[in-house]
Amino acid sequence: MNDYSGLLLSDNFQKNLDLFKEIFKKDDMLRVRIANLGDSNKKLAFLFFDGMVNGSLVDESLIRSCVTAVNVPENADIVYLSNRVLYSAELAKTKKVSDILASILNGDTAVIFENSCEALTVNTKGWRTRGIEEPTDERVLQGPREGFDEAAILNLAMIRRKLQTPDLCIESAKLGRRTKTAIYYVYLESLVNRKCLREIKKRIETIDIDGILDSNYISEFVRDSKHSLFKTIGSTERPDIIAARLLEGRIAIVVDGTPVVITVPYLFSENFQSDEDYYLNYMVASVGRALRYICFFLSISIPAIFIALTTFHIQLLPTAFMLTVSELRSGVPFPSIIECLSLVLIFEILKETGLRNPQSLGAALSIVGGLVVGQTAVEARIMSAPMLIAVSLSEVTGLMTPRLKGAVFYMRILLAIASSLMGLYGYMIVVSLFAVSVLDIKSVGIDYTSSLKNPSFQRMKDTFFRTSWRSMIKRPDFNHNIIRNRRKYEN
Amino acid sequence: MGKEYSFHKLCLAAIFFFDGIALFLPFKGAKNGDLSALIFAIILSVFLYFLCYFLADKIYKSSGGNGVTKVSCFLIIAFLVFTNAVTSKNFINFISKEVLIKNPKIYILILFSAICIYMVSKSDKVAAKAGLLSFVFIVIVMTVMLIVSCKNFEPVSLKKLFVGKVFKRSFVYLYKALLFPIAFAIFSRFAFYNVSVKKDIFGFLIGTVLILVCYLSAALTFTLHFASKIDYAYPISISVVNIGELYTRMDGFAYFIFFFSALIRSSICGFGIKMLLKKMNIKYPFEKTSLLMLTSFAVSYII
Amino acid sequence: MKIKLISLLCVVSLLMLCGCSGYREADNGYIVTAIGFDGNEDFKVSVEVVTAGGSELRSEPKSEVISGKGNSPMEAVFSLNSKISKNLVFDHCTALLIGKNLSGKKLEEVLKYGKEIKELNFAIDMFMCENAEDLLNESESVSVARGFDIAANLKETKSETGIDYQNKFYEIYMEYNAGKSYSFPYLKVKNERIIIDGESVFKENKEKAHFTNEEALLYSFIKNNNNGGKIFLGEEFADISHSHCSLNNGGEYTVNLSIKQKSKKFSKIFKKRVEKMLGKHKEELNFSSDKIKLKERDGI
Repeated sequence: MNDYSGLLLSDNFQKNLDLFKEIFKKDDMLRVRIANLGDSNKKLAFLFFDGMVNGSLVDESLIRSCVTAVNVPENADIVYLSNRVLYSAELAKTKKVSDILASILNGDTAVIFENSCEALTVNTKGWRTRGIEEPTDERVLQGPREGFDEAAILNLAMIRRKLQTPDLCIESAKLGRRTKTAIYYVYLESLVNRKCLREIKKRIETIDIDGILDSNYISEFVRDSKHSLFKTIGSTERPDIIAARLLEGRIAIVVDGTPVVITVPYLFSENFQSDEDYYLNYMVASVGRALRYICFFLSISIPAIFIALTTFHIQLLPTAFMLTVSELRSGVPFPSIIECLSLVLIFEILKETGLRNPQSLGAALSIVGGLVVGQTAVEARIMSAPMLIAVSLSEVTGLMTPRLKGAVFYMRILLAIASSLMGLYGYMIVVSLFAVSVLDIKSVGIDYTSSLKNPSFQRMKDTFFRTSWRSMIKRPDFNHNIIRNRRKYEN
Repeated sequence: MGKEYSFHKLCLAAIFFFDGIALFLPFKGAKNGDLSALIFAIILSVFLYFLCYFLADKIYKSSGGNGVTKVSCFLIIAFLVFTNAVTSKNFINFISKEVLIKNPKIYILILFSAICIYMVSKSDKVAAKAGLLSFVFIVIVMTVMLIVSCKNFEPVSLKKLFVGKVFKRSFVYLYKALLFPIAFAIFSRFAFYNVSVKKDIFGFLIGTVLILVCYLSAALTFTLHFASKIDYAYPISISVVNIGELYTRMDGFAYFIFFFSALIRSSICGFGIKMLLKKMNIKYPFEKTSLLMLTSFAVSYII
Repeated sequence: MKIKLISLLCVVSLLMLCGCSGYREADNGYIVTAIGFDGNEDFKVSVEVVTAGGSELRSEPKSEVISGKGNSPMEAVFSLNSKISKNLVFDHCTALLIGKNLSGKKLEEVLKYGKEIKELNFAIDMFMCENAEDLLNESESVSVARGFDIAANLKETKSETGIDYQNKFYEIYMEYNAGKSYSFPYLKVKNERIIIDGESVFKENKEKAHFTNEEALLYSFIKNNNNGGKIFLGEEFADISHSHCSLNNGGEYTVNLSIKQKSKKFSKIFKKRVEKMLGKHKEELNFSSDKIKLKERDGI
């Protein structure tokens, strides 16, 4: 594939036109409009892609302004064109064919002038976007409802609206050999961890791939622990969340073509934060926060502990409960672990089909799921009711921490298997294994569990609970050498 | 690790101190004055710890190529291997007698050794954080268990616990369980180079409190004479506690307490070995540490 | 990386091999709710087991009594196991019954068996009866199992009468180990129901005294430093606000009882009642009736 780097425009107008027609000979979307500059004989060619440009902008600001130009001097050149004729807020001059290609492929219009080895690229982007909608996965009851869309430029504008400070830095780069996707590093100059910034830039620069269609492509390339169950790079579709994270010294990476913006570094405690935590009263938010920690633990542990207690450590169960379990389990042909794994699988299938199918099928699915799994399987003695309750409880509590969805699934299964093999001892071994691996994870060089590094009330103010904004005086200290105080600038 | 890990050092010291002895309290043959003997042994071991810390400090500051340093390091490594063997033996015996009665001991040992070696493969900060989490769990559970088991306490004469043949008995405690402060001294000096030794002492104090909680729970629930005849009196004293009709047989919590404390203790021995090997500039310190730890686990299975 | 993968694989495959022993499903055993030991020449063990309903979804669990014989408690239980298809699960056994004909060395063996077997809870309640097998066979269970009935009965009697029986296995074993006296609530069948009828006091593995329920209450007050309760003195109840018992160096108990009666007459009746009870069993129980002191506090 030829990227035409190094190739420059020539003085010959026709030759230049032929070059672009040759490059896009199999692309019928390219439009070439030739016109004269005013009443002179100087020819202009406007190159653009149909559907990528704002048609009226091209017509009014470019073509009309050129065609209706008056008193065009004999020595009119590209400079005269850009300074005196064209109505446009943003235009650039270039000799390189690769730059012109990049611009017109991005929705700009290239203006090639006769007898000039330079061309102008004018911003006439007019591709359609989805518009500002509330993200479906990050709904809130109270708070802003804006969400990003696929246009990076608009997303950056939304961030800038939240952080109206000259401290906001936006650096651009391109990724993907064929897609040439624009990505933008966004951070606050005085708060960012420079070591982190250098590290993330270095990692992104080493990415070699033909196309970047979503921010997750970048996440998987740059994350620290490649095989860890826990995500070490944050993502969100909300500009208010991005602004909040930037104010804590994180770096946001906006990728063109996707509404999901990624942030680094990402800490373990962020998995338990909800977007709404900071928009509700701190006492209400704290209850939610504490519940999420408890639900995470319950969701991975309930099936495992149930299996361990009913198969290895019957003496630890209350007698009445033990009799009930024994009675309800009698006649079930499968071992507890098989029951558990089958139920987990069924629930995952139901969840996935619920996500992927149209809403009209949702009601039918819930009936099938509830009746078939809930009632019929138990009555037919294929599953036991206690195991069904245990797995359902675990699935429901797992929904409290959507950011840990993948991790919870694997952990739940591994813990259940370990418990079925060695009871509570197996459970303890696997829990320790997970704990040790989580404690070792880093996110772009920052400890994933940095809140455990120097435990104090100040550092816990936004972890297991949230204190009021009055007392959240300092920023989290995982970022070193930044201004800690939120209230006033330190010297 | 810097000063921000000072609390972690305290937690690790407490757990290390606690694990050595808590499982067997009160020791067999306990008579009048047993508690005084235990306290006396604890005080002696703290003095011993100071000596060991001084030795660890000397080794830390000396160059690795020095002959005397090398010999000391090898001797200490041998002692750490022995400490690890004793720790794992005690814990594995507990698990195979109380938790998984019908399972072969070898499988229990293999899994425990795997998780210990995995922990040692990580950095010492991981051990510090794991120690912090374990400490919080252990303290909360033991406090709750102490409160709910108060109603089961027999009215015994506390004078009998304190007055008796103290000196001779204290050496039993010292010899059997508290004679391993060198392991923690090495880890403490090498890993927490910026944190003062005061945190170790506070940690030992807290560990002592936990040990006393274990001792008194067992001795007051079962009387000293009977408690000394039961294996693992503390977990069994928790098993007879009940909160209402529903919460009975809570000895599951004791399994977790002793698992976490044994894991931390074993890992500290492993880290000590790794740090000494690095000090002597030996290649592939982690691989050699794993081999030595596997040796110690094998020894624990055999003895 | 390779070494890590290989070692992980080894651990996982070892994990797959182990753990098969010790695994049992909740419905794969008979749950023992009560166990009783009888026997003159050899041991006879009777267990009440609860079996799960079976193939029907909401069928009630059933209980039945099975017996076995042997030269030792372990052997007797082993012979039981050979009669049934599933394993016995002792973890939820709530009552350990001792037949009256079991005494001396045999009782000692039963106590040792209770200590050695890991599946029996240290806090299991122990009871005395005439014959454990007859008691279990003759009575009808109100709840799921007779063992639960006995436990419920014990709890009810404790709350109604205020008697603190101290009949848990570890309490009895401690006293036996220390050479002191220990006691069991006495069970008997009345109108096909199991009731608690008094208390049997043992020392050196022989029955030394049998108290009625009223005497058992008194015994409980004296022995266990109770906070108080009511004793029926034939005409009316005596309110005891506090009882305290202490052992002196000579091995004798000194009993202090505070009663809330206004009249001295009741204190005398009460003192006589205590003296009579203690006098009956002075040597065995090590109580000295000369050392009883009564403090009267009026109008409290």
